Amino acid sequence: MRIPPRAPLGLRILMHAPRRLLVSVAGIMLAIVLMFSQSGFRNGVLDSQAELIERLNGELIIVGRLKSLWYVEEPFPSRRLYQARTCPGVQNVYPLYLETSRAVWHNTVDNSTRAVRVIAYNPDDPVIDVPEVHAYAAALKMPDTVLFDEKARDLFGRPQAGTQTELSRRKITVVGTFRLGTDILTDANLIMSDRNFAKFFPAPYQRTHLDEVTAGIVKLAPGAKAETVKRQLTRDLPDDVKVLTKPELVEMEMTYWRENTATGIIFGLGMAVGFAVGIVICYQVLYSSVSSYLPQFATLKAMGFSDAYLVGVVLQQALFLSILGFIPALAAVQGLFMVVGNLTGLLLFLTVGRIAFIFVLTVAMCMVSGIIAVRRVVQADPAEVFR
Amino acid sequence: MKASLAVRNLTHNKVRTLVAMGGVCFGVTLLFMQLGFFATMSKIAMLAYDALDFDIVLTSPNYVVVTQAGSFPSANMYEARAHPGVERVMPLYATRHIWQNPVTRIRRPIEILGVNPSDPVSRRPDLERLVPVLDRPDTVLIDRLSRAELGPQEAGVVAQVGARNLKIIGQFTIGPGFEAGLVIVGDQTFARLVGGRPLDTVNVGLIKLKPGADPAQVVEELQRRLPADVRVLTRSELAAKETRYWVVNTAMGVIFGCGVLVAVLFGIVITYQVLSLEVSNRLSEYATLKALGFTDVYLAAIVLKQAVIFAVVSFIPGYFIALGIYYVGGSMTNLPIGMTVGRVTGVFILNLVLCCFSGLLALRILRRADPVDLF
Repeated sequence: MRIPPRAPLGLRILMHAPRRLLVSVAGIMLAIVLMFSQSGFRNGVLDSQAELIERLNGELIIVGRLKSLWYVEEPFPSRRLYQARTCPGVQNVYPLYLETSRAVWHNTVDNSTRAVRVIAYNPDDPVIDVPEVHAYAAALKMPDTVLFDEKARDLFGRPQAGTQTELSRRKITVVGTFRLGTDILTDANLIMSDRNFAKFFPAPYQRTHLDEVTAGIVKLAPGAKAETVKRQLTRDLPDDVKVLTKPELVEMEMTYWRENTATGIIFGLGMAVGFAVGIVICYQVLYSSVSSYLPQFATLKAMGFSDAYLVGVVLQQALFLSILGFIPALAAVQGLFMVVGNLTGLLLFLTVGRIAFIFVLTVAMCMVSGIIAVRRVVQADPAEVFR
Repeated sequence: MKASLAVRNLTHNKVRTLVAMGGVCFGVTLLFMQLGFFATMSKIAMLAYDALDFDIVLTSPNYVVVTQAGSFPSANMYEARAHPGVERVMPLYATRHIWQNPVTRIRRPIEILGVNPSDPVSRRPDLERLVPVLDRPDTVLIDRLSRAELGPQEAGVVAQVGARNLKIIGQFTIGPGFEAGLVIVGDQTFARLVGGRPLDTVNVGLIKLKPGADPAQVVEELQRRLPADVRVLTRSELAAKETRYWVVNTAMGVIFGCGVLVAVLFGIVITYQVLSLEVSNRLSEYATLKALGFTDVYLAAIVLKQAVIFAVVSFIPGYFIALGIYYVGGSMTNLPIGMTVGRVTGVFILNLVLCCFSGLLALRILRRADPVDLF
């Protein structure tokens, strides 16, 4: 293999035995894939649970006092939203209705019924960041119409515009689709108007329709500060509700799933072990790689090269192996996320922050183990290495 | 002589060998962990049903999983009871509902099962004793393995479920799986909980057969007799269906399955990487032995013995760390995560085979080349 004569020594050493290099790179690559996939799956569960909240079009959210997870509705009187509108700094407050327990979708293709999540609001209100609702606003105001989540699991028979079926035993027509995504407890989302919601899911206990809401989405006036308005609203509103910023609500949901569910705990354990194993493997690959060249390093030292030079070569190797393993790993992980994301409907994605974190972790571990491996040469008499 | 050469190769540089073994050991741990999680999915599928005493079941054609069971008219139950092989039919009601912790007032989703208190639905001592007491209105039994945030579980505690206040009259042990909790109520209480739904639609029909009756045959006969709005299944068919849901139709099942594949791939690459490095580091020494006249078979034997020792010694800590992970996972979640003999054997053999294969593969270079070229 022709190696450019002026290439850094670390790289030349690695390329000297191409087959060994390939195997080492494969080891590093798999360690990285492991760390990304285990953390990606865990984050995917949390991100999916929080997705609907992230898409809410408001800086503050009003929810029932006891709200601790999104799935349990904790409705409160819609009167609170009228009260909230009078607060300074509030531009508007939009009602949001959710139903999970009573919503059952009938799949006309295989005649099955499944639980779904119904999201409802006034189609003219910009409540959720789903552009399709605005486009279909006129159709959604017609009676018994609904939008269906394209990213719902296949078990729903892929309803399209025009599909007619039953929702909780009432006739319904799909007028279009949108894209949101599923989570652990929800296999499909539906969006309908508040008027239709009142008909399909009348409030229990004999109250009039739409008297209770699941959440109030607060849009702030330009220039208003979220924390200030939050404090004011908390003072103004009675204590059957609480006011949270959107990040606080997301954090509340993620905390519940991360710490209070068997799902979150098991995925967290998998993530921790994945990182531990990934780190150990990076250490092991670098250590064996450097160790197999100890005689050569010892010779260099005996020839007069400084310890700093030797450590520098090892650090180069650590960096090269990390980069060489990282690039195919990223590609493999993207592919894995696409496949698993499609199969499960979960949101699996990489962010710059997560990529950077794992990259730094990998390089750091490789460098640490490389230095430890070369210590024998650096500390001892080089001749010792040949014994 | 041969054995001690293999051993001495390994102990010549203890630190390097230990680090190498560490890689393989953690690969073993990872595989155990993913297999353990994956196996948990099928274990939790039948946790509730395994506590109930039945041979065949009636379900709606829309049955997905016990908490999404659909329903069918109870008239089918009476029809089924008329069959000569049937001893008794027992309705089972099932749904998800909201439990409120009486102390913190926090609400959580739980799984509720409803049974007729006078039916002998279970032969487990705790349930056998407690289920008949559920005929008192608004009483509930709670699974002691439910998550702690459901609140105090002692008999006498009153908790709000949906809109009703239920009094706990006892605890049982089944395991709520991935749900926050599992409770059992009497059928009248269940009907009041789900808003006055009449008890003449049933979620699952549990059927106990007379001794000597053949379940498969009764299933076939009942399916022919009963209308199409109900399915008949043997206990094992139900188990297969329920397990399939958890393993294939949940995000967790798919992800844990993927995790097993990644772990196997991981194991293969790491083992090859470690073992082939062990051999290629000594390639010049093996070449010398070959030049001295030792046969390829002799050299292969040394490598194999080294690989076997390597496999066994790196397996043991990997196994124990995996046991620790199972313990931590199981105690934090009350999930039935456990080791099985089959899994231990399988992973051990896989590890052994991979180690030997990798070592021998690395040695192949020696067979084809002229020893002098290797220097």
